[in-house]
Amino acid sequence: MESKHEKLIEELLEKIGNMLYQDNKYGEKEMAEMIVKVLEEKYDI
Amino acid sequence: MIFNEIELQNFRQYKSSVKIPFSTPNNDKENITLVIAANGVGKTTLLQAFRYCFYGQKSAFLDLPNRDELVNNMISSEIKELDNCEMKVSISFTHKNKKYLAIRRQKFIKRNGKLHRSGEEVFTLSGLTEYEGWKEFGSSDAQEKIQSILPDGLSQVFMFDGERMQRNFADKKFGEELRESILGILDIKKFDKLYDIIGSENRVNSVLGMLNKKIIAPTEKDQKVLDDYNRYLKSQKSLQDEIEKIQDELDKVNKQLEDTKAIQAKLEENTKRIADRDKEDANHNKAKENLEKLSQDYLGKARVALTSRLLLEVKEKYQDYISQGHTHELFYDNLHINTIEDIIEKGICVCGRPVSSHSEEEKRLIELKAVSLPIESAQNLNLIAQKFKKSVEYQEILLELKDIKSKMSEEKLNMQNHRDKSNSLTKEIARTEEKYGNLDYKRYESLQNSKMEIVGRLSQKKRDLELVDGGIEKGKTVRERIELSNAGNRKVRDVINLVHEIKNEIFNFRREKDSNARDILGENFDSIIKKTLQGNYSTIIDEKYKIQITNMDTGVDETSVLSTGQNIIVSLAFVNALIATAKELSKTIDTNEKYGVIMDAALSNLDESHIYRVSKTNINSLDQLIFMSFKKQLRDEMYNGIKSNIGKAYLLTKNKKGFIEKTELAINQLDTFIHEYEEEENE
Repeated sequence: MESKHEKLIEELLEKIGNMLYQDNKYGEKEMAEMIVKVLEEKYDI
Repeated sequence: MIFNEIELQNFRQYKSSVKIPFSTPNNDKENITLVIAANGVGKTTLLQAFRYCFYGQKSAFLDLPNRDELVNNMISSEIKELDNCEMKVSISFTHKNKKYLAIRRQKFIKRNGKLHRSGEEVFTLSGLTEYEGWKEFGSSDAQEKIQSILPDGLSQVFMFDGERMQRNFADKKFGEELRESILGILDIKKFDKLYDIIGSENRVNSVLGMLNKKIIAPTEKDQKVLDDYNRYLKSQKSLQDEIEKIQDELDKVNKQLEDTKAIQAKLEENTKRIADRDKEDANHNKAKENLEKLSQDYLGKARVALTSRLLLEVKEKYQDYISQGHTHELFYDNLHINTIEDIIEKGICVCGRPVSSHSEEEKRLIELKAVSLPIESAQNLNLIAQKFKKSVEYQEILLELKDIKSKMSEEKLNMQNHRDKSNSLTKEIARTEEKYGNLDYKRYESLQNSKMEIVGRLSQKKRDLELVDGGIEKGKTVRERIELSNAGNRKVRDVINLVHEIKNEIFNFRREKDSNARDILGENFDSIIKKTLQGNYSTIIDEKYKIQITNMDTGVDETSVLSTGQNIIVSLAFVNALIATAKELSKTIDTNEKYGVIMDAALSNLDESHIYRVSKTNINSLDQLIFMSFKKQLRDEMYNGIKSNIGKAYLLTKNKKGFIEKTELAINQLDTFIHEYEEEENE
């Protein structure tokens, strides 16, 4: 995909992709937490 | 990805190890593995085993039974209490000329007569390398690798459940499943997931919800502190100015007090001088008094001395006089006429001895009486006699006068000294008073009072300032915190805006992909339908993946009135269209790569007119097909249509214990077997 935030989207997709493939081990909340963590680290929030 | 072999162990009706090697494409021939089984003899289970091995217990696509129902529970009757058994499905496959072995296993333990899961489910994937032999991937890498080879969303396409083939296309469920397949093809399931996870500010467990929660609003308490802070800031300056003014006032009063104190000290020295002067004056007066007393004494003594001196000058004449007329000096000295008369009258002498009448003594006394002097004369004579006696002390008196004179001189000197000192002090006092004025205790007291009043005011203002400073300090901390949180909030808001942009991009991306995919799928589907469905039909797939099949000859939408046979044709057309679309669109699907399809097909109601078309266009065109069927599906038309491509064939049966057994059928005897089997069935 070509977009303004392509790299970030790819990064987030990779994160949740890894979680998605782990056999329902993670719920949406955990995935959201993971993404928030990525954003926190990336944007120092 | 071409399937080489599947092995099932204790998976549902399968027990021990059941291995089924598949026929692999050979110059586009022998691409079909036929698995024949009656209903309920493990066909669907075999399809489920493929999905389970690759993706595990995932609800989104697989429609698998509960994990605990996957294991062959009949095994529990064959093993002892607390004994273990293992459920396992392994699939060997080739992808891009490399061999892989995927194994998913779960251990169970028999407890209280039932099988219970023991430990975690384990998935392993090994690849055969040229130099290192079989090499195992790490656990998460293994799952990722499988996803990269065949995403689980595509499992619906490549592991096709015949159940859906009998579903009417007008059915909503079909549209949903089709959509799922498209998402799998596009590999955008995770985009959807990301979109869902991003959520909204109102969903606390979504990304936006969590980010929104990070925005810190100032509390009421903080706001109050901040308001106070601003108020304090204003009053701080005026308080500082006031304090400065009061401090000046105080300094001024202190200076005045110091000056007054210094003057007072000087004037207090005068007080001492005055006291000293008074003392000197008193001493002077005292000396004066002493002098006067000494003078009096001197005069008295001088008079005595003069008398003595005059008496001494006539003493000789006096002695002569006394010696001429008086022989009894003693009596002369003590008796005078009154005394003699008293003795005679009382008859008792002055010495106490009785004087008898007419005695010698009385006679003598009477004689004495005749010559005795009257009392006054006697007393004068006695006095004169005493004076003469005393006159012998004249020298002594002269010495005393000399002594008194000396003391008088001393006192005079004292008087002079004290007067001099007093005069000197008076001059000093006058000089000091001239210089510093007079003592003014009222002024000093007034200044002290002013000072106390100023100090009181200053203390109050300083206390006010302390309060203000404290409030400012507190406010500063809160302001810093709020500013920090505001800065943080701004950052969080920026990220929230960014996430919204991402969400929109994902949405647009999905919509675009979706639309594109539907167009391509629609074209593929339409093209295949035209080849396989007898008649003049046209297809449309709308935004909700609802399919519309229109008879172009009549212009009537026949989607919901298609015969069962037509529905199967349409279903198979879909499978082919989906695969073609997958190859065209999917990032993970290599268009040059061959892909095996496992089809649990329900073709029993396929009408004869379509058999040939289906076989030729749909089934034979697949790279590899593991085709599961039962006898009624394998009518002559069907079987004849595909038999040239069948490379391997198996018969699944249930033994007496209910476990599934596999028998490989010889291809050259398959015709006979199919017909024998059919005959048996017919019987």
